[in-house]
Amino acid sequence: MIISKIIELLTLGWFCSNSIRRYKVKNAVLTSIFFGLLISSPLKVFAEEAPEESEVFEIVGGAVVGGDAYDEIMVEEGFSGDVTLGGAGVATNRRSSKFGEYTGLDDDQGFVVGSTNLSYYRQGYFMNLQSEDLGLDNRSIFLESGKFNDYKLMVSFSQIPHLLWNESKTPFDGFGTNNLTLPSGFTRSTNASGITFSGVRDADLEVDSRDNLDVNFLKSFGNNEIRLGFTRVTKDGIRSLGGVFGTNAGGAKSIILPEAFDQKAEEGTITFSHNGEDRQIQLEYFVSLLDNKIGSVSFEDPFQGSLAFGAGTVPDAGVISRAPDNQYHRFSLTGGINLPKSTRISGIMEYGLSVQDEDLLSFSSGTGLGLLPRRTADAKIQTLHFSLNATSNPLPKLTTTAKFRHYQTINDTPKTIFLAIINDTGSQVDSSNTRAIFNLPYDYIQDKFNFDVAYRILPSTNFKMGYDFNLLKRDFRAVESTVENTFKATLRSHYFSWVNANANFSYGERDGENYDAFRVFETRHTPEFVTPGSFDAVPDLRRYDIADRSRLKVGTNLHISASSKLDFGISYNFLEDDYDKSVIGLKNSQNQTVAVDANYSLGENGALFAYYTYEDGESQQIGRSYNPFVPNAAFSINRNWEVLNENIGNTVGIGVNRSYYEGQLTFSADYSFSQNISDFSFRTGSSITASESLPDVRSTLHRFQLQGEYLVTKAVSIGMNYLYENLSYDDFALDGFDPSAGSFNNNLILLRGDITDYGAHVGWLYAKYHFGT
Amino acid sequence: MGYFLNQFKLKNRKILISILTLVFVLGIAIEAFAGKKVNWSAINPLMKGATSVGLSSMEDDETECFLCHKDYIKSFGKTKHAKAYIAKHGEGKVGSSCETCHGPMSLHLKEVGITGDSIPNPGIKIKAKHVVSFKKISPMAKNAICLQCHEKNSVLQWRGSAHRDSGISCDNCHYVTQRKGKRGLLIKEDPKKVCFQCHREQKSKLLKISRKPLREGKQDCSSCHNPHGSFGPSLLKKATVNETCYMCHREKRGPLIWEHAPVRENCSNCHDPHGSNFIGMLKQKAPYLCQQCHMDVFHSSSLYGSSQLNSADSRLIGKSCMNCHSLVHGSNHPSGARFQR
Repeated sequence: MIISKIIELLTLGWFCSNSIRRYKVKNAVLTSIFFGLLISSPLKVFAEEAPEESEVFEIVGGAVVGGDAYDEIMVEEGFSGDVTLGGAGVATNRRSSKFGEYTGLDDDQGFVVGSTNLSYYRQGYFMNLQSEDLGLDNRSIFLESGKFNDYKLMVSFSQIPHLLWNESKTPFDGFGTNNLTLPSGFTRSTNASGITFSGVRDADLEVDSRDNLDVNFLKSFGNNEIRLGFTRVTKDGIRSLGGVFGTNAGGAKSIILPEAFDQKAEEGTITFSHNGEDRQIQLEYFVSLLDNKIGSVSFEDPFQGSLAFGAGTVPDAGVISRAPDNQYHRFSLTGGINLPKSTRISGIMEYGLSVQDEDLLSFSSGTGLGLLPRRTADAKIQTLHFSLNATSNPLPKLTTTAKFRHYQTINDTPKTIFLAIINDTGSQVDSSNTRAIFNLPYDYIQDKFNFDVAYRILPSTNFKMGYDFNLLKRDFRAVESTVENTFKATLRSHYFSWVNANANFSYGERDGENYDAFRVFETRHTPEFVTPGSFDAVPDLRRYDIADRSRLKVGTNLHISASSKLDFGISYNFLEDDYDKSVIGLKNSQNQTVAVDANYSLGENGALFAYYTYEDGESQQIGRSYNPFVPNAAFSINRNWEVLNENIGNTVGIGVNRSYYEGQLTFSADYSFSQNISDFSFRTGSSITASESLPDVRSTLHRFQLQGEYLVTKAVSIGMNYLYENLSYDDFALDGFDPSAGSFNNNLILLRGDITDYGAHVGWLYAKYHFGT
Repeated sequence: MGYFLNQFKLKNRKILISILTLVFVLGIAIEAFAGKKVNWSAINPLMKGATSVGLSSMEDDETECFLCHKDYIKSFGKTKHAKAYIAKHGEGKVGSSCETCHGPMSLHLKEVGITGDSIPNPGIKIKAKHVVSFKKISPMAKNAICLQCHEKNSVLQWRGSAHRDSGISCDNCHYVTQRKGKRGLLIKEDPKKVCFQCHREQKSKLLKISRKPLREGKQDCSSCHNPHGSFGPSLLKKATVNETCYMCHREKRGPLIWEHAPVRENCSNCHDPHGSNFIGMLKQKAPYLCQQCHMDVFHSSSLYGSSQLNSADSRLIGKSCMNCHSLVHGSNHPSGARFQR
């Protein structure tokens, strides 16, 4: 009681005092009234110490029937669940990071099998201990304990390895640090072909993520709750990163770096909730602090000599920036209230603030900080989100839903001109140079309105129509605002108890204000540089995220219970985005999927299942090759080229699970096959050299799994699992470009080659102890 | 708090004030009408006049239900649901919760022949009409029953959500009277399979070459989506796609000196978070993905086809454009305008 009063007063006082300090008085009064009313409602309940046993019904009496069977139907107390312990082994035909991508199992090895699914309950108090894959690098442990309807403490630990690439090679020393140096005796060369790769070393790429500590505490006070949360996450490892020299003209040279990655994030949440029967309010503050220990990577240059096109001398070293430390704060106020006619109004107000103010690096490794326009990033983005939803049944057969959403970013990062140092070695450019560039603090505002009406035309059959209005305003883009109007219709029926079907259709058109291809160019560069008629991108280009577009979506979903044993389902989805007003850029994309599944019940003894998915995605995009040496090239359709891409996916699965001897022996087997083929073909204008199709990007995966478990005694079972996987992946951009094989391109030294195909077997043997049997 | 409020520009303060005013007015307007319970006779008209027999006689009510529904109640007693319920509503036996979900029982007891000290004959089979059975009621009715207790926290936005409007009921995904999954009383042990009941087309994404760790159980659909409704697009947990991605990819949120506009706005402009045949979960293979927006003089406007592959063009092989423009998510380097530093 006293605590609740103190919280009430503190909360109100907090808002009021800060509002008055920061706002004008009239705004402060309004804000205080709003928050006061909103918060006082739940706090009133809070203060009155809501009864622990709130009744759901009005009680009028009950029958009196004797019986001594109570004990049998008591809620089960004590331990329940199981603990599993065993061993397993992996055999692969070839070490592959792709097989162990998220488990760490990339090679022949053994590991311990361990997991728990353990619960304890006694007189309102409970404890759950769940853990998975304790013997693997993707282990997780979750422990929760508390008293129902009173308090709960949750602690968890989880880690996810992410093996990115094996068989990578690098010539660098300092692997795993932010300073990559070339070994003594390394012979630099003008071109990659002149570099000797005999000294390259293995550099496996992997980033591990660990939720080292995730603690949440929840305390209930009647219908009110307070939740406190804290999380610490670390990520570290090695990734690949392009390190380029010659950052001005087209003759750049690049070496792919093994980039050290080492981050820590700490996050906290405090949430207050009032969960009344008819109204709910949730107030939350969230903070996330990212500490990136690798702020930059410096790397020596394996190349030497001059860059092409007179772009200068190749520098001895480069420095590339990495993600800076940042912090994010979010306040949110969410609420909902139920009204007559099954009406509910709910809404959210969120305010977010992202801040980043790291010290800036110098323009190049050889220049001082005095050349910078400012010393720190001073980057700041606020976000404001407001949504209001209302849904109602004004008539028994009629449901209406209206939603409004406002979301905006407020980018307060200063817009400044940065006068670059060309190619790390040159002098600082003046404001008339192409490399004198303003950073543009992008912003956008979204206002979205949606209205749906659904009417029950037959028993269990609804027809719904809807309209969406979506307005997006953007700063520093070729289109300042776009409006998308979408009309939707859905027919849904469960008229026959054995059929559940729906069909939906939507069509939307997005129109923008005049596409000004020069706007960004003119804003990004100085007036001294921008001359009439100059541009960077082809003026006919329409960037697809802001281009005019028509979108057609059609879908249907059918689920049939053909008999008490056979279930059958089929889905079809089609989506087409048409950018018919775009001359250059993405013209069209289509995606359709057909998915079928069937399940045949074998009664209590198991089931057979099968599924098949067909995916077909197609896109068409047009480019125009141009350079200043060909007059009017940027406007010549003879210089157009077209990429036609088609992605076909076929996935099949079939399986069975069975039990024998009244569940004493359980068995399951399933097989999946997935093949995805991406095809690229080209058409060219008369002034462009024709191109043949590229080899397909193709992945094929076979996966077979067997599981069996036998209940030896009431409390102990033994089990075995077997998994076989076989993957092959062909990618024209990777295959055959293995860095250990030497150079194949004068301007590029790769770190890795193809993804390693594999065939892998895994076998598990384990024993499981069951509690509470 | 004062620091954050101070960050607002005047025009943004006006927007905030307008929003607050709107919410305030709405709050006042709706205050007078709030408050409803489940209308059992609307769900089953034959229950009109039924009264509760439950909580006033905690020692007895469950026995009545137990007489006919023994196995069902025993199974229910093993669930977290049952334990949480009796903790909330007092000591007693499992059956005291029956009326919460099946409605007031007075007429049902009467129809099965339990009156006063009379009990039904063993083995009696009767077609009960004066009770709410989940097998016979509409999804909306089922949901209303569950929302009596669960309209809070992550279920705050259920009404008006895409799933609710699609005629989904709670028991399509949850099974409350038996423990089948490890968490959430889901009807399947594997949470993904619950979603795949309807979203069949997503199942194949798990087997793509570039994917998230769903197969290993390190994530599931609810890592990003809130199936109970949200204020974000596509039932995402957060207000935008990007805010959802930043839950794990914190280093991408910046803000940075050199922002890449479509990146700042929506990660899914370039990535397919459900899986892809291209490395990096990209929607299209580079350089063609980049060339959908970048068509500048010289190399970014060139066609990269078979002859460029034969010559191992550095814009086509390896990381393609990202061999040099490696910081496509944005750069904080003063020389990072072209995302090379």
